[in-house]
Amino acid sequence: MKGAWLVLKKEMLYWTKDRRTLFLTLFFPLILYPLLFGIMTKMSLNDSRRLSTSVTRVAIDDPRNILSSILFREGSGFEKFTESLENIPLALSQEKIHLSIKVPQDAKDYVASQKPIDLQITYDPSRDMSEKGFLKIQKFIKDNDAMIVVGRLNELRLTSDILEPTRISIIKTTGANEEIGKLIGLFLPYFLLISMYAGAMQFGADITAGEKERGTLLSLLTTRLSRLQIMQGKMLAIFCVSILGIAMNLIAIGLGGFTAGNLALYDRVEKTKAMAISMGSPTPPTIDLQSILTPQAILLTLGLLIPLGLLFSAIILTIGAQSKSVREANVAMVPGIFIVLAIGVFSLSPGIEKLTYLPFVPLMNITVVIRKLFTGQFVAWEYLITLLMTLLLSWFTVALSGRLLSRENALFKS
Amino acid sequence: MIEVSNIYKSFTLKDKRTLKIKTIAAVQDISFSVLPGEIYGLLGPNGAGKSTTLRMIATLMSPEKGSIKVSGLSTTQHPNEVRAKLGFLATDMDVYERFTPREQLKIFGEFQGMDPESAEKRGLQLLDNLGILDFANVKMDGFSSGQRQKFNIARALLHDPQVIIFDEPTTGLDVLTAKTVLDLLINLKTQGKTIILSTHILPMVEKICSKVGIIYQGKLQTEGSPKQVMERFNSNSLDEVFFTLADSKEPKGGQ
Repeated sequence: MKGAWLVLKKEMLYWTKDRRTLFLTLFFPLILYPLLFGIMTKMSLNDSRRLSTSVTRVAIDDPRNILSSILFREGSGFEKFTESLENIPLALSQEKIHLSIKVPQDAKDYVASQKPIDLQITYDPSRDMSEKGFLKIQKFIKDNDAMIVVGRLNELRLTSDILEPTRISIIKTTGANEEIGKLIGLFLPYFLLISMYAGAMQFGADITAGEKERGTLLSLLTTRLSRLQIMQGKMLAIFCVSILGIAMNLIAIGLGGFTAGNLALYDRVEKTKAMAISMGSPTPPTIDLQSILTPQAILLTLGLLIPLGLLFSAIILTIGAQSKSVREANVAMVPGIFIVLAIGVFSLSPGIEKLTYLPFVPLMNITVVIRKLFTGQFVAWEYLITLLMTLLLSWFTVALSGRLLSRENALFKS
Repeated sequence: MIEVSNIYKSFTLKDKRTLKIKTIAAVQDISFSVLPGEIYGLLGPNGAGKSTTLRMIATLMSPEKGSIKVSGLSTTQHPNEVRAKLGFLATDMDVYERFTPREQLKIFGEFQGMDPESAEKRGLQLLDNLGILDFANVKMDGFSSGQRQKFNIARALLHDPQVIIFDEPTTGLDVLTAKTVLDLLINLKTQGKTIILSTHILPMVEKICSKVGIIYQGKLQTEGSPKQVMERFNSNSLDEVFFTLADSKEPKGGQ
């Protein structure tokens, strides 16, 4: 095993000499994610500010001034478009107007006879301002209707309780922590799987096929180290780089999320709080990340990532060592990304955790077990089966790669 | 000592058009031995089977038939022990460009079971002998092909191997540097090392080799001291022997 450690030491030392790769793997994510999240947050805030403060331009056909008289009051957020229009869809697409409303001529009679008025609203759902204007006008009309209804009920000496035969009082057995845990559990396994494979791919291709291409593998093979030791050392190096890459990505995403403050997680927190307040909850829920990201959950996740990392490293090593050049290795490794992506996407399917045979399905079981770890649905036997299955699969792949790599044509170009 | 007995090695090639698989015998029934203090010149044109033979001796490939012993150890049964006694240099070997020679020699010393300090000390001595000591702490990505070859020679000799296999060691070297390598080989010969040298520079072979073997189309066509071989073919130089052999083996007419 000493030989494998020596090879690992050499690979890691050589890796640290490549400042560009080192920067891209370790430091670039620390700059990229906070910057990306920052820009996205800024853009999103600017956009929502623009939408909330902007005035909706309305072309209205209201000959008897029924709606216009209340719609265009100062501060209502609506502005009357006074020019004549030939083509309403064109005006909407050119954003000359955001909405067009047609009020029937005899609307006043309908109000008097307490019959509904048929308003015709034209808008362009593909335009933000038009969409937002439509929602605004819907709310405006709903509020106005409510006032009319209250007036009518008062005339009949009735209260608005008559319109609400049932009142619902909601008691949630899980709180905001579980909501956040669910969100983390949904995306974390997907992210871990993809970044683990993709992160190790380039490095793996370089230290296998790349060394073959550059003629440095031959000098390694002529030392007293056995082929097995060389390959074990290289596999450990791929494993270390993938774990390091994941760690840095997670730190960077965390940093990005905290600094930008607009990660889906925090957005969800605010929405959950806002919903609780609007529903009359006396105390808004507090989010305690430490109770979600417990040391046990993190350690158990790592326990699964180690055999998974070994499995991916063995796959990458085998493909790389069978390839004649880095290019050929990359081409052969890309389908792996699609497989991992497909598993990741499938793992996002709702209700997937209910499938009883899932602990026996490799890779998929990892995503589900990690999800359960963060949602308080941890089942010990499922975890153990998943761990055992992953260990078995990685052992099988390592043994297979050892067998394949002992072949002469795997180590020489021709 | 190196003992090569009746070795055979073949490769399969796939015809991309007909998809038929052909088996090509790269090395057929080759036998020779090299004693300590001898330089054996293994000669032959490109594709004759020299490199395959040398790779089999260096345990990088296994013979399908026959056997090879290095210092009494079978290359197939004790490959790791054989490599520990062996210094190997091939034309398609290159250097780790991001390391300096000093760093790389320390690492390779550890691979060969040496402690890093003594590997560094001996490595620097070898770099000095080869005239590249001034570049010991320079990253190797800017090295010329000659400097790279010199470094590879130092790396191959780092663990003071008893058996040395050099496949075209003067490739890419200028005349002066080639002379340095030549002197180094003579020095190693006087130290009692067992050396196999494969080269296309036949005057060099005539000068330093105790024995030569000429391989052609995978077979050892002739063997003996340079003088014996030249006499056998009524020639004044190994170049002439080479041409005579090639002429007699080429298919006649039409080509």
